[in-house]
Amino acid sequence: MQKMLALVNGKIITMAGRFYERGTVVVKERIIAALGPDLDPPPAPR
Amino acid sequence: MIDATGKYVLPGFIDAHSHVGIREEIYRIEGDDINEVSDPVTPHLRAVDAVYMGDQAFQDALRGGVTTLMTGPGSANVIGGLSLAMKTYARTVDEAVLRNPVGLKAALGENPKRVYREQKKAPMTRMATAALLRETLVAAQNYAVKLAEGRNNPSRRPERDLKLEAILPVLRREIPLLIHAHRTDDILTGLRIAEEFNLKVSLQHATEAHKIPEELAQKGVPAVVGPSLTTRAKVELKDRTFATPGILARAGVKVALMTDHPVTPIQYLPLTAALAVREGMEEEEALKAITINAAEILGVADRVGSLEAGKDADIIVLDGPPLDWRTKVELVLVNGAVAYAAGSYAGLLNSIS
Repeated sequence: MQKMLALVNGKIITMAGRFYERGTVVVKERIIAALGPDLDPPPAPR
Repeated sequence: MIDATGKYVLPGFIDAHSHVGIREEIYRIEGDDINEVSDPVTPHLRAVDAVYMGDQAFQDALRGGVTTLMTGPGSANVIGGLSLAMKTYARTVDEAVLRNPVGLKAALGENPKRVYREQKKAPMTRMATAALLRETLVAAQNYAVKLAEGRNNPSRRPERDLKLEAILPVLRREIPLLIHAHRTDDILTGLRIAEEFNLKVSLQHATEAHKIPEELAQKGVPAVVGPSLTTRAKVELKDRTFATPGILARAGVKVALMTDHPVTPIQYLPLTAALAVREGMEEEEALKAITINAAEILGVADRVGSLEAGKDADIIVLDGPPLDWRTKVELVLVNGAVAYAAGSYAGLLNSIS
């Protein structure tokens, strides 16, 4: 199974021209899978 | 899921010039592999052969939020060797390498002439330093011609020359010449030689570059500025100021910052950015100088330097604004793994990896 984690509700300074006051970063394995203000965190593993 | 409510989340910081893993802070000869002072021209030396992952500086780097760094040979030699970009968290240097090489180190100014004057051999002057650099570049050009001739006629193929071979990627503009220069005359000598040989360059230290910002901007030369959080250990540092990065950035020069660790301890990289802001650099530019600009100058911006989908998950979580001296790094992910955790995240260190 792929390892995933999410950092939620952070003040995200992307250094790519965007700032999210309350945003989520989703990490899949070694890579940033997605980030933004309205992302659902990945489901908890069962 | 990791709650980052109220925290600042950024890409890991990047130190664009250090000697981490090569020159250990608390050791003398045992941890010192930085300068091969037996020969002023050593382009064939490779930093990757000297990086010790047990250097405590890697832990210090993580504590300061630094997840990528450039490390390489010192400035005793006119041509010192090949530098690399690497992550600060890995089991082995081979795992840590992000790009190798990122450039070939060349040094102008006081250091080569001081070291070799003591040995009573060239270079003893700035003129000899420049001449040795030119001579070696010409030798590499000639070697490239012979290699090309040897492709069609094996009998004319030259013997393999590791020194000249190491310079070929610089002549082909695949990697930059990393020009160590503090004073304006040394900076301009480096740029003059680079133009003569049509080289890509990246200016290292750039202590007096604030006196010639237009020249650098016009030539499109990036500058890795520092170390500024130090004493004036040499005459060529006389006019060192934290205003330099801001002046260069306003002139349109792409600027990154360095600690030159162990000259300035690597964990203070964000503090050097904060001090640059105090002396007039825009806060966003200062953050760029330790993230995306550093990545672009090192040629690794496709992997690190900003938070974007598809890039490496090198992420730091801070308990306050990134350039506030009171702010602490609480969590560091490198390649998505927890490399450092403190404060409210301390329990994560062993639970996620």
